[in-house]
Amino acid sequence: MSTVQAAGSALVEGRRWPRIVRYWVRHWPVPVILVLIVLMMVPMLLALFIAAKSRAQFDFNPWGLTFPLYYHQTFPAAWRVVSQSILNSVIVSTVSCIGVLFFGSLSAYVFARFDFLGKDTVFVIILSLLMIPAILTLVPRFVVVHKLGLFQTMWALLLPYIAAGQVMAVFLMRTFFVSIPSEYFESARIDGASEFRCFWNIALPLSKHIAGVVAILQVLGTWNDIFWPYLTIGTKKELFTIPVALLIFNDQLGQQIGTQMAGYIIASLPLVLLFAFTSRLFVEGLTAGGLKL
Amino acid sequence: MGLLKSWLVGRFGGVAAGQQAGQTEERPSAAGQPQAGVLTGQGSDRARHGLRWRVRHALPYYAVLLPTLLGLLVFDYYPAFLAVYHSFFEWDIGLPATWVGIDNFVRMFTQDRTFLRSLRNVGIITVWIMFQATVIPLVVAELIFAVKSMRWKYWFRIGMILPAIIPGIVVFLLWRFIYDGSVGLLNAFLTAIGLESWTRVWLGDPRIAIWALTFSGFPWVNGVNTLITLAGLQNINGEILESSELDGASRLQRIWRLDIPLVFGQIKLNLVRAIIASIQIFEVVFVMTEGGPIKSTMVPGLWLYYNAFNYHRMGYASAIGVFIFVTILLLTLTSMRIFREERA
Repeated sequence: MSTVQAAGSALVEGRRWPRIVRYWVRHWPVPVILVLIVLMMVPMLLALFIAAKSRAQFDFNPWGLTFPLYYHQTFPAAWRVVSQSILNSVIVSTVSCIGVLFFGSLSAYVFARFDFLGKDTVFVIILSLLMIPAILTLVPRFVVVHKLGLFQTMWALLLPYIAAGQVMAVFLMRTFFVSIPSEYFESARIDGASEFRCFWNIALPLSKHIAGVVAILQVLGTWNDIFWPYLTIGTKKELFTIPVALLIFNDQLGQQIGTQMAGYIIASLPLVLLFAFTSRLFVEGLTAGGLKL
Repeated sequence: MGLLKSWLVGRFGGVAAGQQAGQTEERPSAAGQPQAGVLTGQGSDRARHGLRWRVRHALPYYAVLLPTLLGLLVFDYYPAFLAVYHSFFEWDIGLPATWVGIDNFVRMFTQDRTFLRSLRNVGIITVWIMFQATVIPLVVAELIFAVKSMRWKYWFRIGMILPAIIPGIVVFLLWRFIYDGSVGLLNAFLTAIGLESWTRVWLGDPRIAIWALTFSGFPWVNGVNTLITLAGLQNINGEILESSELDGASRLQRIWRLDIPLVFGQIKLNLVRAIIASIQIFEVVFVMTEGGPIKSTMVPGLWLYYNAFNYHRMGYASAIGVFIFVTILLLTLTSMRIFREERA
């Protein structure tokens, strides 16, 4: 493609290098990127190695893989510590995801399909929330949650997550609903379908993909959120989400480094598994999520 | 309202370019157009019916919107309003609030040395993240773009995202461990390669901690930004690249003269994302150093948190929040304006 490469391949052909050398001259970026990706994964690989170590092994050789592996001890120990918080995180992410999808898609449908007094103003006002950074509202939102008596309940997480997640959902799904040809809905209406049936049986099934993007965004945001649950759940252990549990237990488990690392890995696994099945949605969701302040 | 509108159009324009890349030939300069329909709407009802009819007609729609609007009102608009409102009060939890005008803001810049320190720190972090979010992704995206095999390209895209899936808390805690003074891997590595004199308690030395914190996350490849840039590169018309090759342009010339101007929208999007994220950064600092040692790694976001929840100075904390908000808004708008002019 470029002169550098042209010169390279000319050189290679002149000297009759073996085929494998020619292949790698042509594909030189591949190993470079592979090295980069391995470097990016180093912290996770370290966690995986260290999770296999007993205390003595760690003192002797803190990095690299040591044998025998103690995964059968560290993982169960870590699981006993974080299992409850994993369950909590799954509940919070799932419920808030369903809430955002349900209310968000309903609102997006109204904004996309109908014209009524004040629609555009209300829509812009909703979107303007994307301008407000989370840090600004952190403290007063805590005050509101406290006043509503939600402190140290799961509602303190669910309700604000559902509310905030809808902004992105309404924006993304409205754009999609607008793109559905209106003939679909008109013919259904003529056949006597109610407006809700139009929404439920036509718009929603068509929007599976964009709904997936919204869902991934919501799951990522809620699963990884550190501060809001740390504030609102406070000291109530049985409601800890996974980041809070890691933060708190990290200090308690200071001496058992293997168990600590096993905990990190367990905490990452659900998202990695989800990613394995929906990597395309992840790519889209993460790039679209860049909108938020 | 005009400001708000231009801001929204600018951001969604930029994102539309990043998000839909690969399917459309959208260019940042034309990006404002899809938004225009949203903002103007259609006025047919207005001409035919009176106000009363229109209010009655709108009610059912608002009934459907109610859950959304109510939630946003309680958990977003009202807190945002409270934040701005309280920033003009001296309000310690449990005591009555007193109106102090702009005193909180004056105090920030004249008496609060920790806040000034936090400004310097966030400046360091922001400059680095701006570089990390624009230049490095461009280099990596060019590397992936130069890969000829589609299969490798596909796996590299996945490989770029995978590290972004690991929860932030895990990454922060791992880096805290890497920097650890006694068992940390950085020190072990330095000892192994014979640089024992360089070893130190990275996060425990007030002069070094902020730098250690800033440069955590090696090799600093932001996968999401890389993919946004890559999408821009793949959007470039292949004929342009071919003709540049025929004209004898070298790879570097092509990148400098063609690629960078053509993916400028994506680079700008990455830049704005970086500004927004780094000005309000505080979770990483909280997890890794808690702002210490002796507040040397304090950032405004964390200082806000400490004022609110450790010292119970709610009014002052709100003022810091308003300051962060305004800073982000101004920097975002300026950077969008500057780079728009430079393009033209």
